[in-house]
Amino acid sequence: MKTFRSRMRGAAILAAAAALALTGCSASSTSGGSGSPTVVHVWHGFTEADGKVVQKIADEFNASQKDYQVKIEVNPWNVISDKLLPALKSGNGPDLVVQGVDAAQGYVKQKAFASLQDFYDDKKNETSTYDPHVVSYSKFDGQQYGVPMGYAPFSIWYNKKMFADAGITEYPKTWDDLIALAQKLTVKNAGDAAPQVYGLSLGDKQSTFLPSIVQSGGGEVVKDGKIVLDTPQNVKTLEWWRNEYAKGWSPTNIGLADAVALFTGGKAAMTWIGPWVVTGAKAAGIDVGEFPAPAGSDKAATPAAANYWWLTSQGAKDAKVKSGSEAFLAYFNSHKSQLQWALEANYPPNRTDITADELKSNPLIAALTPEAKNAYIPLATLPGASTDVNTELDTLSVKITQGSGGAVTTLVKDTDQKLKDLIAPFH
Amino acid sequence: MTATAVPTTAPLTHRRPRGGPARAPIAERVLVTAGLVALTLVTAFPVLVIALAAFSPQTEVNHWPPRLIPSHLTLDNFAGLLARLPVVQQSWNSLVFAGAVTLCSLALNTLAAYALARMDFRGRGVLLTVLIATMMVPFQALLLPIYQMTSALGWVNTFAGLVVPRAADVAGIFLLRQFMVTLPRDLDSAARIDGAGEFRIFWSIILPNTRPALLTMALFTFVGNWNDLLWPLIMTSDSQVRPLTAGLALVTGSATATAPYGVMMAGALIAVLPLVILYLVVQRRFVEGVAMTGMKG
Amino acid sequence: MTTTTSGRHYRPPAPLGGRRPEPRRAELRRADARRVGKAYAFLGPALLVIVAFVFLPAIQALVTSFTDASGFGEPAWIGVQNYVDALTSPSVLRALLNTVLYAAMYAPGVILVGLCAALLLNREDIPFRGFFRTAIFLPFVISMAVASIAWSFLLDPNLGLVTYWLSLIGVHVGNIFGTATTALPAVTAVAVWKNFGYFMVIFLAGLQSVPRHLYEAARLDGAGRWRTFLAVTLPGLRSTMTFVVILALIGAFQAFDQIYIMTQGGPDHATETLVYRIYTDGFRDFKLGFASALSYLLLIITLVLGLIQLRINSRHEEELE
Repeated sequence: MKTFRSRMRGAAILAAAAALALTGCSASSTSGGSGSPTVVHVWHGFTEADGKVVQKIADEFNASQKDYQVKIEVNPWNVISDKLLPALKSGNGPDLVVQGVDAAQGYVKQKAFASLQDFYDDKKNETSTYDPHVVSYSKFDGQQYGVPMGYAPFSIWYNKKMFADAGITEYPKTWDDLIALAQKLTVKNAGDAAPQVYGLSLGDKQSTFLPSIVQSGGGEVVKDGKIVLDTPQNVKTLEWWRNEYAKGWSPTNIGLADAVALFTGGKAAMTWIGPWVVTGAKAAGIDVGEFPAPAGSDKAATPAAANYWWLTSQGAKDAKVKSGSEAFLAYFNSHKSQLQWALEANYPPNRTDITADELKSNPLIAALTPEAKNAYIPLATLPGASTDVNTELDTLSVKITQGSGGAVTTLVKDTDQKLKDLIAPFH
Repeated sequence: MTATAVPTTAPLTHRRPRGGPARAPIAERVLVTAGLVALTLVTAFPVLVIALAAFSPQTEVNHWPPRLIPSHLTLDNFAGLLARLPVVQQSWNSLVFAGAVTLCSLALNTLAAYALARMDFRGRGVLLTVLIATMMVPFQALLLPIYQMTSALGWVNTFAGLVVPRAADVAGIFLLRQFMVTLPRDLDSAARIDGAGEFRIFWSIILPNTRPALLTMALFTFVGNWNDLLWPLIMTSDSQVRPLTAGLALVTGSATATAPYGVMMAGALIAVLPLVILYLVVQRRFVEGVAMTGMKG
Repeated sequence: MTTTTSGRHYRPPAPLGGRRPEPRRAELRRADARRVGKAYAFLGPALLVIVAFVFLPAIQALVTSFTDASGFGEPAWIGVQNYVDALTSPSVLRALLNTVLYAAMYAPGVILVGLCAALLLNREDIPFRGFFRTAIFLPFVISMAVASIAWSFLLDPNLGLVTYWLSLIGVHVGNIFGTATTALPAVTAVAVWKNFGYFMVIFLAGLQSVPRHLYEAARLDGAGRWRTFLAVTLPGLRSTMTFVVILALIGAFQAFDQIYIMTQGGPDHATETLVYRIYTDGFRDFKLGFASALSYLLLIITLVLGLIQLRINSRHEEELE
């Protein structure tokens, strides 16, 4: 009995010691005492060339001064969306996070994001060089919450070789012309179930484009936080869209990434995407060119892939972390860093004082930058429920393009009602 | 007339091998074998595709019509993977995570199983029932409370946070307990009469006899934790601490920028290969272990 | 010679012709307590972990399910309101329906395919049995994440090998994971693919425990193969079947990884099961109270099904006696 008891006691002491050791080993990441730099935690989901440039800029920032250290954690975008709120609540979240405007609005309402108005008010941050159109999206209740991070317009990218082979020298300026061109470039042999080559590969399953199509026809999906989908104008635009799609120049029920993969796989002549396609196309051995998205019956409208930096409630709590975050934001949008960002990550710069001459080593970006004025963030003023709203629009989009689900009028009416129900709790 | 009786002399037309069952006609054996071959193709084929695509050039992976055998092998996808993920670090993390959980649960589960199987004490039945009930609670339900608890302990993004909540699990205890219960009673009753301490009986008598079940539990725990996705994904946000299976989620793509399929396959191959090798080496044990879990007990 | 159950309680032999002195009740209680104490010394470390990381979170989730905890605000007690909301919410009911559909496809699928594979493999006249068994069990060691990646690739509507081969024989599959009607079966099929080897092995063990002499008797009675199967094999597998059905149901209700990777609950909520809802409501939308209520609803359903299954089984066992 004695041996047993003493053995058990020994084991218990060991276990307690181990537990203590493990707890002690935790990587505590709060700001250290005086003398050690304040750590600023940053979350984003960029994995390709853009992610590398962000890391480079962060490393340069860290090396340039001793007060703050930026620590970046790259997570898949959907994981960031999943974890952000619980992580912030338990203090494990980021101080700065990259998000789009539609999700951000919900976070601002839930007080997960803090105001950056003082960043804008401070002249040394040079925020007057930002594009007002871009900045306007991140203003809520008269306060500025977001700082531009990457604003890239979608344009039509084409396979230069396929264009040359077909003798195309001029790019189309209207949607009707573009679709006619797409039909011309579609290669479908008799007896094929699907074309060998699509003229234009669009990701209809991801409602990125539905708002732009609607806009190019003179309407809107969301205006000033209200759903305005169900209008005769929009119905007309979507009926036209459905009729055009029936001509078979694009696959249907396909997500954005897959649509682009078709293009880089040589199975489509054109695709509608942002400038990050360049690296993938190059890797696949395709020489690409681009031209701006064409105009619809009313105007030219193209989606903007717009990401902003947001200061979280966690970051705003600590004064040192907050000033560290703002210092990094100023550094990221400085002239030098933005030049690097534009040239290496293939995004138009966030500053308007960068000349075309400075960008001449990347002609694609130089050509792309002026297109930002026709680029609109889809569903920008949505007050909440952005994931569910996008799901509903995805479904609507595919039903339009596949010609299923009944008449366009009914589809639009039903979706309009569903969207209204989804955002009702957020008013 | 006698009813069916075993003929005492086998008719010449139906000569059977001595003492063995009837050999089915060739056609049937061929069909069965074909069925098994089909099943094998279905299960093994995707693994083959992963392996081949991982070494194929991206232009051929992303191509139509797709081809199975690449024209030439290339390591580009692995380079692309390394550029996106700290693969070596994450593989190591997987090893440490799965290994630590396996070792801890071997220790803790075995002790607990012994108490439930070989020790007689008041409340044992109730405890067992309650433990079994906990196996049915969906993991996603507990995830957030556990996250908040480990976060309060400062364990997010640490190995302690990943390993300690998994250091013991009811399924493992139950597996070991079922096995220990089937060991003969007189193994330990003799030792008890001699006045041996409980721990001594556990260590010198029961434990050595439980080795098959221990190995099975260890294998399942290791494989299960190496392959676990959600738990490491939630508990870690730092790529340096993250195990590989969760880390791969980063290359499986998002709406606007996907890693090329070739890179994805390279990642999948690295995640899968160690376990496949382990499996091929110990596959008999594995399969025996699974059979054991199905035994009445 | 006295025989005792524990070396601790050596009792002196009865005096000649007399009765054994009765042990005092306090002594018994002390002995009991000592036993319990020792048992919990063994159980201690494991129970510590399980109580801390399973029980306590489970209790916390239960308590939270009765509050309106969500976002960053302070939770307030609202009784069973969450449960009522859940049971009357069309989207939750849809998730429940998806879960039931999934289970209804997964459990029979994995059991039938596993059983067929086991029957094929349980013969002594097939060559390379070990090889087949190894290959068929292989998907078990592959993570569901990797399996999802592989099958998404193979069935990619525009780039997939399997899509291509099927088109060669005239079968045109569209976007399997992206079409509402085919997404749930497709996601189920991936799970069946991954797990049927496991069930095959369990059935193999069960088949081998069916007493040989029953087969002999059937053969002597002149029973054909199908008859033998019905009369000998299936009844012999009864307890295996119970175990396997519970296993399949629990596995079906907890299916998550492949949905997370391949469809994220879409398209149009077609693959949104209850467990997936619990995850998105709890994490992304941070509606803790509601998500906890959903979890306990799922738990109740699982328990009820498990109990029904056990009751059926015990009734069968009574019939056999």
